[in-house]
Parts: sequence; structure tokens; C-alpha cells
Amino acid sequence: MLSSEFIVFSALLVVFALMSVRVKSVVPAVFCHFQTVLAVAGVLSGFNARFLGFSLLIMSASSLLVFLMFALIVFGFYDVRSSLPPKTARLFGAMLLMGTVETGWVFLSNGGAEKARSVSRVGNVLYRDYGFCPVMFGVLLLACMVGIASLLTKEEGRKP
Amino acid sequence: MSVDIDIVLAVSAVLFFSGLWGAVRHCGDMMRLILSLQLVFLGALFNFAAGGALSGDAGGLAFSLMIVALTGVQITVCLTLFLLYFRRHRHLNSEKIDSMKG
Repeated sequence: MLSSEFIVFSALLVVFALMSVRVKSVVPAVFCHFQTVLAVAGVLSGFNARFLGFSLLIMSASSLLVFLMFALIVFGFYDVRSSLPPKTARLFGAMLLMGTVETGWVFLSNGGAEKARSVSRVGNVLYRDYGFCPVMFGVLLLACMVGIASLLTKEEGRKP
Repeated sequence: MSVDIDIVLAVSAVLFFSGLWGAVRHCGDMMRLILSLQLVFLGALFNFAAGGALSGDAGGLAFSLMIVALTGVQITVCLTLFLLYFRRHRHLNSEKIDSMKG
């Protein structure tokens, strides 16, 4: 990986991680957190670990969108909007632009056979040396889904 | 020019400790607490993945995939519990939560 690429993505990573802790409102914090995830995916892409970067990006994008929707539903759209600091729209625009550039970089960064080899290496290690871990995490995800469904169903059943 | 492993460790430490700082700073707000814990997970993931990639050991990348799955499980379970709590008590302030005290 080129050092300048690492420096740029690491600087973005550190700045947005600190911003996501510093800002007061939850919505800008979620956006800063997503920028941090994008920067981590960029660094991982530079390390020939694009598969991991994409996995992280997809998981984080979906979970942070759910998080954002949850915040809007729980606290109410108008309360969240009134708690936002001024000039937030410009900040969101800048973040959107930066996120687009970073995602484009992660998608279009060059490499080919080596990355494919890296995926096959990870697959080999995962299922040959640590075969128990995917099974264990599959059970964990299943238990998580069953637990959530049962909790929500039980709660719905209590309503008059 | 290659990247020094010390710099990678420093960046992941900054990520990890900023998450811890956020968890301490926002301990009253459960949603911010979850975001900060995500930063802690991200720091650990970055450490595993970058260390594994730099040393040429694919085991670090494999364990990073496990951390991605664990983060997904964590946020799903936490949001469900928050939703259930909010339905009953109409707030998410962790300083006011006393219904689980022994």
C-alpha cells in the first residue's frame, strides 16, 4: 500500500472518530461514524483486503441506516431536526461528497489477481484452520434472530 | 514505501481509545454509548486486519470477519432491547434505568 494513501485515510479515520464522539446530536454522530467506517474500508482496500472492506462497509451501512431510522422514530423527526446545529445541511453535503469519493476510491482502486488470492486465502484459513468459528457465529446469528423475534412477539402479545 | 506496523498500531489505538472516551462521555445516552462501542469494535477490527495483512497471515483477516459479524449481532440486539425499553418507559436515559437492579 502506498504510504500517502494510508496517511490520507488514517487522518480521515482519526478525525471522524474523534468528531463522532465530540458532536452533541446523535444524527451527525452517525454520519461521522459512517465516514470513519469508510476510511477504515479504504485502508483495508489498500492492504489488499478488499473483501473485508466491503463486508465492513455493507454491514455498517445497513446497521447505521437502521440506527438512524431508530433515532428518528424514537425521538421524532422534528425533535431531532430542532436539535441539529446550524449549517448542518452544508456539513452533510460535504460528508456525502467525501463519502462518494471514498467509496469510489475503494471500488476503483487497482489490483486484481492478488486480491482474488487474498479472498481465497482467507476462505482457506477460515474453513480449514478455524472451521469451528463460522459454525459458532452462525449459531449466534440464528439465536439472535430467534431471540429478537420472540421478544418482539411477546411484547406485541401483551398489548390490549 | 511500505507502512510501518507501529503507525498502524497507533491508529488502531486512537480508534479504540476514542471509543472508550465516547463510552465514558456519553454514558447517560444509550444510543451514543452503542456508537462509541462500535468504535471500540472498529479499533479491534482494524488492528486484526491491518496486522494480518502486513504480516501476511490470513488468520487476522479471518478473525476480522468474525468481528464484523459480532458487531452486526451487537447492534441488532441492542436496538431491539432499546425499542422494548422505550415502549415501556418512554426514555433511553441509562442513568434513570433502575428496573434491572438486584
